[in-house]
Amino acid sequence: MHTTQTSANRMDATAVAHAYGDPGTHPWVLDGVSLTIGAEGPEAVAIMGPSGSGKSTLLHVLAGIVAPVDGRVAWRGRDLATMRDGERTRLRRSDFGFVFQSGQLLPELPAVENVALPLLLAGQSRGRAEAQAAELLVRLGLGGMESRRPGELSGGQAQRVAIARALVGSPGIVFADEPTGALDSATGTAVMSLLIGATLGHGASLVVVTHDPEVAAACSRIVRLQDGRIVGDERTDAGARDAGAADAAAVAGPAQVAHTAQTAHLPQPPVPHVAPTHPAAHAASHRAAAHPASDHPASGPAAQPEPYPAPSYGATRAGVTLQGVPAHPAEVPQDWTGRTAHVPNPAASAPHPASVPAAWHQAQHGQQGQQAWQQGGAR
Amino acid sequence: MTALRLWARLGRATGPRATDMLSAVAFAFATAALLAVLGGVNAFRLRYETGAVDEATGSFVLMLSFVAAALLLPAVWTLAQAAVRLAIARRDDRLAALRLAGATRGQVSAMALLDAVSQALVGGLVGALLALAVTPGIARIEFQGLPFTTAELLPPAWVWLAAIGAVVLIALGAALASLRRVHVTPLGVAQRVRPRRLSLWRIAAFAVPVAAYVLIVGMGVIDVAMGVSIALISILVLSYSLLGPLVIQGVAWLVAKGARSPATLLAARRVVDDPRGAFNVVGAMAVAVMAGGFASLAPAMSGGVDQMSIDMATGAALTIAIAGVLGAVLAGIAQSAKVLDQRREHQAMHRMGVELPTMRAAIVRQVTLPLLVAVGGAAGVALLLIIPSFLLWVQSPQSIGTWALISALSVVAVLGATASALPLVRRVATERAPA
Repeated sequence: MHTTQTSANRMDATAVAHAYGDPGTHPWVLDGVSLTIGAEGPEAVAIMGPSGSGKSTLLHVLAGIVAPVDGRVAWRGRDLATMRDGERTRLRRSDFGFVFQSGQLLPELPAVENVALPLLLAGQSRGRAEAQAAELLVRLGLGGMESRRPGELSGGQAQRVAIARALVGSPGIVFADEPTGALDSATGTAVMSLLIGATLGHGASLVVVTHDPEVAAACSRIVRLQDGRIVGDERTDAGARDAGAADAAAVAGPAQVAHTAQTAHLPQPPVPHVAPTHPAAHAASHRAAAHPASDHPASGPAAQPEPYPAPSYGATRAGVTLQGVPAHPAEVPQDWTGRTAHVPNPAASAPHPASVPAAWHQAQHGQQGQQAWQQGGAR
Repeated sequence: MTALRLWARLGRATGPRATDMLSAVAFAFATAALLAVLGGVNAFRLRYETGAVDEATGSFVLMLSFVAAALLLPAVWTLAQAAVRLAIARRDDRLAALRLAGATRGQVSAMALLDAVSQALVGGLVGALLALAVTPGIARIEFQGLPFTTAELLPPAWVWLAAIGAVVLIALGAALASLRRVHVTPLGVAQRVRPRRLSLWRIAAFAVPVAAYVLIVGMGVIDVAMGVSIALISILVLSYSLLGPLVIQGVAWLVAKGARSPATLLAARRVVDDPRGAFNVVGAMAVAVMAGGFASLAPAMSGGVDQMSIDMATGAALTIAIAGVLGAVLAGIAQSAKVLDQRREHQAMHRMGVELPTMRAAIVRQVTLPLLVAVGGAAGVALLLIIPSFLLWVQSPQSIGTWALISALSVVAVLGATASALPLVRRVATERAPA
């Protein structure tokens, strides 16, 4: 059993309905969708469904980009519909992060300025914003690529920059729409691993729209849509196993969680390679072996001043180095980006054990992860 | 199905759009400006050929009218190019879909060209009517001691046809260049890389005429005829078009380095990326302002009684005014085209929480920065080179006052016209992103 927490970063969608055009003549794209995200702490939620089932519309409605025709979306208890347009825009900037399939980076800005942009918009000084952005890029394996334009980055590298930009403002929730849709499978696995690990490690929930069952299986929860309605809402194996690990943690404490996770279903990773921790990731590893990723960080400049902590849900395999799992927020005085965390309820901000993939625990509490964090986070 | 029939069918299905209207307006202004300039040249040619003015004055003023035309034609070219970008803006997706549906590259290209040519034709015809409409107004301006007549300002019919034909040809050329971009990246993915630095030879290309001016005109090392001096000044002024983009890129780079606000950062980076495009919008005005600076000295040099010097000052003011109008239209059209071109960027910014005022400010600063640098620099160069003759200005404050006033009004007009592109930002940023 694990105790239920009340999360500050909670999103509630209640009976949401939407149609593009007059509902009388246009079909409902969303038809009475009710969904709660992050009720018990940060979680990774995959939204799946066939084309036209309303996945992307649901994401846009949850993110306040599209106002639903009917129903209510509340973030931290506040109805998005009661906010003015400008207020919703500011909310998206301050509380939400976004990672889309492509075209989200501003082509005229180098990577570091793309990442720093949300901080600049929030009024932070240029120097401080860029320093934070550069640090985040280094942690995401993009050290030395700060001055590159999006056009000079591979697809996977560009997605890492997008992830950094989504996280730099310490959001409460990150929305991702087919974030690996434009990537080859191995690179996609690496990017997804990074996205889940970094987002949850940051104390934020992740909502990811995907067609890919492997991407969905890496999340702790899968919501299935069909014809604008939720037809399934289930915890994944990863979530259930982690819930088991969390149950043990309730008795034995955090150190035992790591031990339990590692001995129960997470083979001890070889150094520097980490074995797959999840059946889906395992399957992906074979795929990755057949198609080595083009997104290996080593393809960038040799200088990687601050190596990032050990891999997350996936693994390092067949030339794919998975990076980007931060230390547990509770273990460090500052948040993941180096700033003091400003989530109202620290207890609630910690990822709920049941919602975090097993390898995340491993990375956080395992020796490798600890050491790497100390190297990367001490700056 | 032939490209023409497919184009006609799709045209009927979609109907005219806002971008089509803007494009036609741009073509109309380009044609009207071209015809107004040609009308002026025609008037001076007639006066010279019919002996209405003495031969020396007639040939000299005719030469000046050619210089003025040369100053303005680049603006006409840039305006037509911007119009083409608007004409085929947002066609990329449709063209790609047609290719996927089995249309040949030739058919797709032909359809895009038909779009551009049809709008250029419509704009050209409207522009010709516009030129006719403003001719009586221009006829009130006095040159060579005589007011123009409307008949003088109306060139032969073949010139009108040639002007419209030239605009259509420019449209064709620019459309072909735009299509090449679509063909190179059929998925419409802009692979923006580090901006190319402009060559430093541009400094030399400007420094040489400046040095020649200082030595020959300023210091009088070599005694030359007035015509040679004017030719030298014309070369100097036109060579500013080579230096301008380099200076704009350098200043924008510095601004980007020190930018504190996201809008300034975005605007400066965009200018660094495309300094030639930025200069094209304001270049004609900058060059006209510089030429006007030199010309405004003429009345003072002759003591304010010489008809030719008065004509020079009038011509310069007129050139600045036409350049200002062209610049204003160009700024509005070019920024509209840019907003449409960058629709995915604007949508991405909107989703990530960039407020509309920030996006709008970036659009305005994208014009303000090159405008102030180019026009300010042009005025500065003119002032610097004229310093030895500064006392002449003091003797004739009216001409410098007119120059400064028209220059300032032109800058304000350009900024005002830029504002016309701003409502597009909301429409583009908030429209539903492609799935």
